[in-house]
Order: sequence, then C-alpha cells, then structure tokens
Amino acid sequence: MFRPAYFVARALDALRRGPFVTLVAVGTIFVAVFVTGLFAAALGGAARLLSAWGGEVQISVYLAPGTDPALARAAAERIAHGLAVEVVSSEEALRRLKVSLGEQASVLDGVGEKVLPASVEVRAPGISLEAAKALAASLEAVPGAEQVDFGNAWLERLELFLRRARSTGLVLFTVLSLATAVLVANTLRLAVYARRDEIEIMKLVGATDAFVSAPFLIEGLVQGLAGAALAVGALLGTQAALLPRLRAAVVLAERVTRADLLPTPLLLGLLAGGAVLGLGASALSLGRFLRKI
Amino acid sequence: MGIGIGRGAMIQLFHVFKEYPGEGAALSDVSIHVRKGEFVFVTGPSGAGKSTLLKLVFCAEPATSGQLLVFGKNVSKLRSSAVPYLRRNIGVVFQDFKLLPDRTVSENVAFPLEVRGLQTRDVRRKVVGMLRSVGLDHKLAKFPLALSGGEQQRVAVARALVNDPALLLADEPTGNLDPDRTLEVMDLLEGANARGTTVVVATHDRSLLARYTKRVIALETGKVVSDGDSIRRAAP
Repeated sequence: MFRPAYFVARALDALRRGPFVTLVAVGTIFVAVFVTGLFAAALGGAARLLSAWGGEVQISVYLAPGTDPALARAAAERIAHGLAVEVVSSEEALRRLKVSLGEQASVLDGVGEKVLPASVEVRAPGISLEAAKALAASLEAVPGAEQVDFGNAWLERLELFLRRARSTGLVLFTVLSLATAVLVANTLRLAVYARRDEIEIMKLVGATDAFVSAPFLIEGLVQGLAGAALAVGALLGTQAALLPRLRAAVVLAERVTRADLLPTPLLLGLLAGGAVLGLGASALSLGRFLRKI
Repeated sequence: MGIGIGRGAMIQLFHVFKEYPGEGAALSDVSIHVRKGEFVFVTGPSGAGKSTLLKLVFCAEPATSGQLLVFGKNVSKLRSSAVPYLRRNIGVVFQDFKLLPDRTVSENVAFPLEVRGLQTRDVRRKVVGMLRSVGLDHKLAKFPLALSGGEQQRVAVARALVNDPALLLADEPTGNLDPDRTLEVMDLLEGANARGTTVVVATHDRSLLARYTKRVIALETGKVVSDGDSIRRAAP
C-alpha cells in the first residue's frame, strides 16, 4: 500500500532525529547552489553591461581633407540604412573636444580649426560586436573615408573576457557539480549508514526496497530544497546589498536590474537543481547500501 | 497467515551446501525437513552452522548448492523482489535482540505491521495486544535500553510474532539471559507453537534440550550428525 503521508511523516521524523547529518547535507547543498548562482549572476551582470555598452555604440567614419561631407553622409545613410547619421565638421569636432576637456581646454589654444578631421557618425543602439564590425567594414566604402572607429579594442577585450569567463564558468560549474554530487552523496551515505540497523530490521520484517527507500528519498528532496532555498535567499540578499554599490561604481550598471543578475528562471532552476541534487545523492547512496543487505 | 501453506513440509533442505570464500563449508550436504506446526531445536557447538542454516531459511544469504524450499517455494528461484513477501510470514528473534534503541517498545513492535501497510489504528491495537501477551503492555512507551535483557528479548519476540507468522526462527534467543528469563522467553515460543506457528530454535544450551521434549537436529562442522527428540539425546 502506498501511503505518502506515512513516508513523509517518517522522513520528517528521521530529519528531526538526525539534526547534525541534516545540517551537513543542507549546508553542502547550500554552498553548491550559492556558488553556482553567484557565478551565473556575475555572468548575467557582465552580459547586461555589455549590452548596455552596445546601447552607446557610435561608429565614426573619419574623412580625408577636402571630402564632400554631403556625399559622405549620403553614402553612410545608404550603408547604415535606418540608423541615425550625422556629419561632424572639423570645427564641430574641435568644439566637442574642448567641451570634453573642460578646464583643460586651454591646451588647444592656438590650434587650427581644421586640425581634427571631419567625420560621419553613425549611431547603432544595441548592436552586437559582430554587427558593429560588419557595419564598420561596410562604412569603409564611404567616399573619402580614412579610418572607421567604433571603440572596437575595448569591446573586443570585453567580449573576449566574457567568452573566457563563460568557458571557465562551464568548466568550474562541471567540476563543482561533480564535487558537490560526490560530497552530498557521501554525506547522505553517512546518514544511511547511521541508520543501517533500522534498514536491516525493516528488511528483516519484510520491507520492500521501495518501502525502505521512500523516506530516504523524501529526506534527500527536503534537504536539497532547503539548501537551495537558503542559497536563493542568500543570493537575493547579496544582490540587494551589492547592486547599489555596483551602480554607484560603474555608470553603465545603472541599467542592471535584479532580473539581469538573478532572473526568476535561474532562481527556479537553482531550486530544482538543489532538489535533484538531494534526491539523486540520496538515491545513489541508498542504492549501494540496499544491494549490500 | 498470508501465504498459502498447506499441511506438510514448512522447510525442506535437499543436499544444501553453504560455503564462504576463504572459510570453507559452513553447511555440508544438509538435508532436513521441518513440518508445519513442529517445534525444532537446532543445536551444536559454535561454528557448527546453526545460524547459517537460519540465514538461508529467511533468505539473508543464498545456498551455494542444493535446494531449499520454504513454504513449498524454492527460495533459490525466488526473485529478490519476492523475498520481502516471503519474510512477512517469518518471524525472527536474535540473541542480541536487534531492537532500535531510539524507538519505543511499541514503535519497535509496530515495524512489521507498518511494513505490511496496516492503518495506524490497527497497528496500535495489534501492538498493544501483542505486548499484553508478553506481559509488557505497561512498558510500551519505554525505550529498549530502559528494559532488562529478558524484557528486551520479550519485545523482540513480540515483534517477531505480531504479524502472526507461519514460521518463527530464533537464533540463540536465550543466549544473553539468566535461567528465569530464559524460561519466560521459551514459554512465549512454546505458546506461539501451541497456536500453530512452526518454531525453529538454534541453541547450544543443553539445559534447554533436556527441559523441553522436542525434536533436536544436531550439527557439527556444518553436517547433520543426529536428528531425533530431546529425551533420547538427553539420556545417557
């Protein structure tokens, strides 16, 4: 007869009887889920920063002296169809530089008005690195174009960093998951071993493997869910504490939200992962033990 | 009694051998039959194979060769998933009681009933009735370590009998008890036998064999050396 209430009651009773093992198992799963979540949040935040940078993308096509700005603009508009295109004359470029220099603008005193090249500037909000590269290459066809710049060096460094972080993260996550699974399985095996007499007697009086296993699996599930729930709470707390500081330190981080760092699907995934970890480790340790009796 | 058991043989061994790797034969060419309703002593010195014989009967271990039938079923051909259902008709008592120290007396006795899926109300009723029959209904909320050795063994007997098993196996059930407590436990086993349960008791206590007129199977170094009643064995 299958009696869920009976098995749940037995599982909760066992958790109560073995608080130390329960705490160790919950703590192990907590650390595993928390570290995983922290890493995912860091990657999510970095990706959001990258896309925030993408919102600022501006491709500058610097023109050779004597180039007809109207001709260059028309060509740029054809190439960057639908994007905002603006001609910046040499004089305007110098004025903008002076504004950006502020009090140090006096260093430009005596500099000729034509010292900076005229340019055509294309604003491409939310564009990816690959698209920016392709657009920049196309804009080299603008008549009189001498150089095309879109801050690619820094963007490429950021993308490379993110790519490496993702690869490293994947390796770390895999290693961490395996280590955690082994650690949790060993912890739960201790729990099973501590109750070997109970299991032996249950089997002696005619308990099936399913009857013996059910409470242990429920315990694993409860421990996994508890560890993961604590980790999710800690992640949310950490995010709430650190995000304002990140926003204060990095201007682009103003657009980063809780949903970027810890999206709900990630949190649900972490909860499910913790539950599966507890359940799987419990089943693994119990299976080995039952075969011995 | 759950399982369909007709009149006749309860346990049948045909040329059974049991060997442990590196230790030689624990049982060697053992052929015995125990009929339904019998009370049998299995005796012999330490290492004679008494406990091994009982382990084979309740499927804790497989025989190396030979045929073993319990309730008419060939246990070597039983699927492992069927073993629990066979065990539900066998009560087992050990010398060291095998009670869970962190469970109360009533919780220990309730185990076989819970395994069978009985409702809590029925479990309670049967446990109280069983403990009353072994004279311990006033101690059902105690923990085993708060009881004397004799009382603990009575709890173990209560757990073995609470399912009303067709067969009761007792491995040195009085080995840890003084003479008075020994008689109390033996009375419980005799009582169960009188109510129809087949009882097999492994013991090396010769005073028991002299006191109770029962069939005695004697083992030495894994072989059956005699099979008869205890009066004849006890006679000079």
